[in-house]
Amino acid sequence: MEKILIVEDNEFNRIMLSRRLELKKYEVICAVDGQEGIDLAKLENPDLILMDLSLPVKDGWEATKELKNDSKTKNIPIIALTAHALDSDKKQALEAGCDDYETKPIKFQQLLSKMNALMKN
Amino acid sequence: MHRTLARQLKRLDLGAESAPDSVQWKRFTRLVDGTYKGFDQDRYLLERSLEISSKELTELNKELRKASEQANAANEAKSQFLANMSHELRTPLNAIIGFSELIMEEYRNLETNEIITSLERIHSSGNHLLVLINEILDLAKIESGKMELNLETFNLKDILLEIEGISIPLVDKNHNTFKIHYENEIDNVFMDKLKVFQIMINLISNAAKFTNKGEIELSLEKIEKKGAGWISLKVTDTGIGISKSQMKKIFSPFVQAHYSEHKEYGGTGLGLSIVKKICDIMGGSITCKSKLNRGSTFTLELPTMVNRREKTLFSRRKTDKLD
Repeated sequence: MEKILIVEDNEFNRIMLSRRLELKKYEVICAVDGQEGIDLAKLENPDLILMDLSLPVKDGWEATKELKNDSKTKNIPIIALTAHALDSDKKQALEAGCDDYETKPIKFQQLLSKMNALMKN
Repeated sequence: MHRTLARQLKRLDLGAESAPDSVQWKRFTRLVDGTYKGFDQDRYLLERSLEISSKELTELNKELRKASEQANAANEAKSQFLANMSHELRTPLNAIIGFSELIMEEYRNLETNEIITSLERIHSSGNHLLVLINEILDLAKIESGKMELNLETFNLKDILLEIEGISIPLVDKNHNTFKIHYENEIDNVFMDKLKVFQIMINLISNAAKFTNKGEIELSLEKIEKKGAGWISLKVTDTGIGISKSQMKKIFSPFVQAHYSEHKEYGGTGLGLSIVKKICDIMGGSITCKSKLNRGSTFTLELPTMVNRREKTLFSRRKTDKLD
């Protein structure tokens, strides 16, 4: 079973996404801010991270940079999941090191295929 | 003799026997001399007026540059606001769409309880979305002069219970405590109940948002001002506070004091500007005192018998704008 880490501060969106992924037979762990996301990624070594960008304590851009600069975590694929919908936001996310980007409201099937594509590599 | 004329005569180098002695020649040189002096005077006047208009132009240019800078800044704030607004609207929408798809696709695998909880979350996210949309509408109403007061007689103490009910979950979110403090002898008032309510909730939810494990207090007090009855409403918190440079901007629409430093707080950036405009319409005022990392106090002073004149003044302004 593949392990997915969701880093998301909004409670409803966190619960919704984790429930939907669990029903698709993923193992799901959750963090509520960027720092917790980094700590949990190091501890649990997930197969993929779904990263919100506007996060308290440490934002998603910063957390992604740190994860991608750490030899222990740099190979974990990260998909940015964000309500920032401008092209410049997407560019900023990819520059921070995210492997892909999905805008909220998310298209679940599209997200699943992006996740599968990244986890196959 | 004019300099130019003297120079020209010298260049002609007329001999002693010729014209200079004749009366006609003298008259002629006097005429030319006078004309040259006239030219000089005209030139002086022209130069002066050029100098003045160029000074005026520089002044005007400076003003135009300033106006254009201001327009650019306002435009930038609006663009920032729209991007921010899109972000704010997408967050509850993501929950609404996500939870409804969850039910539609997986209802066979879900317990009734889970379906109901998901429906409640859809419902509450829908309400959150409505709050955001209402804020935008409020600002649009205010900006087009269409916001009206619905005055009625009521007792402020009656709405405090409701305020408390709504505030406690808001305040609890960041583990803050909440107190309401008021004098016993608060009389009936003649105000717009819903708007007073809206203002208080807005200030309290702001305080709750920017305060962590602190205290938030709402206090009401009768004050004397211009003979009539006034009330002072204070919302005090022990939160992150507002710096001096941010303070200048907090009541302007679209601007969030903490936007760049604290993206995670969210919000539309309209709350305080709406509160201020509503205070203005009621004939009252709002002020803020704050210390960075210590907390903020927002003080509202409102007339408890909203002056009918304020109201007519306002509706007249409204028709002006509509014409």
